[in-house]
Amino acid sequence: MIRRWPYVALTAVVAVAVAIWAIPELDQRAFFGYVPTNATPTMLPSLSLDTRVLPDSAKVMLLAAGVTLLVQVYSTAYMGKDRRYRSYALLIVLFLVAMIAVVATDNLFVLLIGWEVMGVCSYLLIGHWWEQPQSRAGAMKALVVTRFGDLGLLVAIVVIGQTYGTYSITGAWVGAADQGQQHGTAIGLLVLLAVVGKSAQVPLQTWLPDAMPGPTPITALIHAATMVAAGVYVFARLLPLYGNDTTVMTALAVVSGVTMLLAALFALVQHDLKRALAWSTVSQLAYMFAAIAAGAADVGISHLVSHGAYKALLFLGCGVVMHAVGTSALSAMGGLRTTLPATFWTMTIGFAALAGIIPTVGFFTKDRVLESIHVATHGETPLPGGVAWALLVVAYVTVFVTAAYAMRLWMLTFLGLPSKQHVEPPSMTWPLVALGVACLALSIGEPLDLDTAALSTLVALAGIAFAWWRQDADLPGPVQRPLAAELGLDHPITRLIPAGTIGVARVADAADREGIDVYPRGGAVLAGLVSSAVRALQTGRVQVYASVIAVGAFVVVLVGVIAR
Amino acid sequence: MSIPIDWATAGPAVIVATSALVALMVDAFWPRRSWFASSLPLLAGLVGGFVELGRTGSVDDVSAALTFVILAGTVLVLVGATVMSDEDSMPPGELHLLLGSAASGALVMVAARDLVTLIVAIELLALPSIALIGLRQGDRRGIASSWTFFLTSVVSTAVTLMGVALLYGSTGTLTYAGLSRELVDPAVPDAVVAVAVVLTLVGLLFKLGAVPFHAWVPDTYRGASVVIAGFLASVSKAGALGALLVLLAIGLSPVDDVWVPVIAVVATASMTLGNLAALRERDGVGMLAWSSVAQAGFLVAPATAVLTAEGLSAPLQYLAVYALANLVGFTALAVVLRTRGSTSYDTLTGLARSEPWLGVPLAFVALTLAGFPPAVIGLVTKYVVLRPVVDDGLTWLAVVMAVNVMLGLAYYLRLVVVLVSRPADEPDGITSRPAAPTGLATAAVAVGTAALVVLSVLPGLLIDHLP
Repeated sequence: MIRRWPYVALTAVVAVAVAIWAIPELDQRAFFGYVPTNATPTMLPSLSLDTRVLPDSAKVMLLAAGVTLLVQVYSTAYMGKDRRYRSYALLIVLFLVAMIAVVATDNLFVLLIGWEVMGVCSYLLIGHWWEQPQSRAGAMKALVVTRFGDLGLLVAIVVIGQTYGTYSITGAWVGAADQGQQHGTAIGLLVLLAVVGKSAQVPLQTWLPDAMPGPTPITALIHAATMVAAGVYVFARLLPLYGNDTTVMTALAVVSGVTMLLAALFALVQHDLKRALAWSTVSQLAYMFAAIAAGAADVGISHLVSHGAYKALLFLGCGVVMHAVGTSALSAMGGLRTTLPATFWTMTIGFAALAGIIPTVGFFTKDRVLESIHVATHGETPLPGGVAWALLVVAYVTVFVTAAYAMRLWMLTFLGLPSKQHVEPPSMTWPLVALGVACLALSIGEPLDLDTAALSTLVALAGIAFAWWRQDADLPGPVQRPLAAELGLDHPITRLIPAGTIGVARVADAADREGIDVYPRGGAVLAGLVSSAVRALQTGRVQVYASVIAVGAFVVVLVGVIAR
Repeated sequence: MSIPIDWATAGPAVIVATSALVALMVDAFWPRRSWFASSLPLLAGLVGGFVELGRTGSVDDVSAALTFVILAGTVLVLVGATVMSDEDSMPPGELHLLLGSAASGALVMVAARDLVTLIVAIELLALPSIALIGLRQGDRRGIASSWTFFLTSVVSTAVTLMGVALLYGSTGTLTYAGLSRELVDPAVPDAVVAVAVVLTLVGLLFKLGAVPFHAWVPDTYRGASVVIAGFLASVSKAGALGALLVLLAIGLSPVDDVWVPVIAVVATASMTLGNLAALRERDGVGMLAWSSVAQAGFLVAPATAVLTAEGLSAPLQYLAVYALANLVGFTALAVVLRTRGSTSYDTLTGLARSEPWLGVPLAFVALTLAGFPPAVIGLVTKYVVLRPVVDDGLTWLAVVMAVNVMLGLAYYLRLVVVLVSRPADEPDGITSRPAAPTGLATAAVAVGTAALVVLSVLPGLLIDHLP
């Protein structure tokens, strides 16, 4: 029997520490309201443990700590019988610590370290059941794709250091405030590459749905609180270094617009609950990026927090469902309304929040995203007005699609006739209840813009009606088939790149073996020969030794005289 | 004529030498001839040396630090030597007399500030060492080693004496201070001084076991008792290195253009040949012997930068860690030799599993000498000796050192692998293990290893407290 509660207790200690640390920072001013006071940037190169927790950082930290704690509690039931529970639970704690490091640090290299540790943790956790080939493949894909993006972050850090002469984020902010944003395009596009990889945006989106063979609590953790959220957060955190750059903001708007719609459409045609939820994460992350592109980083972070709550709820609920029916295929579900009542009610809240139905928190934060894009269409932000308009239209279309797929998933999972009895372990349901309450409670005090609210509610209702009308029927064939194949966007990543890489690797390997290896092998042989020669001189004959000393002294004197 | 005696300089050496004589007397006249009767006086003398050092200090901080290293090393050797306390062929009184005399020789060596004292100190260290190597009665191999050491030692001392004579002839002074004054004089013939300086250094390089004056090292270390080999590798070397550093930094500082290339070449040759020879070694003591030749190179390499700010402290810090690690290693091997009858790699296989209190320290020592984490202190000191060399502009020497660190990894890590791998065939139980008094030596190993571990966690303890 594995003792499971120590790991929960450990997570709880970390979470409480984070709460004590972060809560006092909540009521300070937000990212852009921050005025740097001590303008003493540390000089190159530096690796410091300085932290700087801003209000938005505090929110993200609280979200990460809370979701991780709930996931850890939930895992005692979901993964309790697992042989490798111990490493699993400890990796979750490490994941949280890395996330806190990324969020709280003021040093770019510490940020990079946390970022990479998260990458490794996600690799290990997605591949937790490494006996299954698709687990291994998914984990490997997550690692390789995000690593590709990480390259962008590394180069961006070097560029920031060279530009502003410091690796402190605050120091760079001060520099950017004093001398204007320099090399903003380069830094912005490099950071964008990094977060596109980490947050699974087009064109590096494919790893997130393929990470589904991992344990479902891990999926909740990655999708809601840590990994993908880190991408959004880091982009917002570094925004003062490139926020005025039109190129970066336009690129971000295009990426987010394409991603939100495509991913929502992919979610609409899935036959697998978990994979559909994964695509929905991709789509929702694009909303956050859209808000940042519109110049409203705080709104993006708000949506990040609200999404974290309801997506954790949905994935954990999905885990209960999978635990009950034994698969994540939608065809095996249906009628779970009566057999899994707690899951049904909480997931209903979650789906409502996803679809943006009042009074859930998803409604309010999504409306603020739409509103901020609308404000950007006035042309007062770096984002060109035309791009903002296009983004706004795409966002409203995505509201429709999102409501449609949320409704469809809800119906296929819970409505219909009950098949047989299932059980909900209490340690799995009470995290759900906690998250469900959070989805409602977080909306208290949220501002409301009536025009946007009315319009988005109408669009969402239209989407729900559409889903009700289609019931479980697929879309028409010419639309359904390419969408179900995810437009073949994965093709270059799974086919062409590996084929090219393998070709290059073969050539490099041959060159290495035939050409370069000659030197180390020759070196080893030479070392061996010299070794034998030196040892051959150790004859034990003292005359030889004395001669060696005399000759040596002579040689050394020669060196001394000649070198002089 | 009264000769003023600077007790701050001579104090510890006199106390240790006196206690060595007391040890011999006790052994000679105590009716029940026992090991501890003669080792305790020497131990008391060493403690007295510490007290004296703490009370009066030494000539300068460098000599004080070296004195500390020598005293501490001798204490470890003394405790480690108890592993031989039940051997009839090892006379305790003589052993402790010679050990104390040699240690006081090393102490005088690092405090010497003129060439005559230096020569006397070299002999005071060398002659007891010769006897120590061949002390075990009836051990032909030990006597042969002793003979080897004697002859090579005589040759090198003769060379040094020639150098000293030349120096005296050309400058008319024997004190370090006088040398540094006179050598700037342009009237002194350059070529003669160059030859004289290099010849003077030979004796000290011989004691250090640096190539090309290393030939005695492997034979002697294998022939002597393992604990005595540890003494030669740490205490004796500490004395020689200290004397070398002080001589270069004070006495010969005006003629650094002569000795810097010599030291650099000797360091290169020592590191490279020592490491290459150690690659083929399949015996614990033999490996440590060749490794000590290579380490001599690392010890003298930063001496090329001895006139810079960090020049003196870098080799000191390296020496302290090296001496401690080597003593722990030799003492552990001495215990293994007593209990298992051999120190070959075949015997050592799986030692960290079967006897972790010996095998794990040995592995940690190998990692320290290699400069490989988790033995962080080894890595730190490797960095410490590389830095002044780079700062001084001898980049090629730094590259050679880096390559040699890599070469060293090959055989140090092999020893670690041997220690932790599973034995091919399980030895058939604890069949005929001779009951040897290994308790104190094992405790010394444990204490030494603990010190290394503490230093690895808090390298600042060493870096901040040595000058």
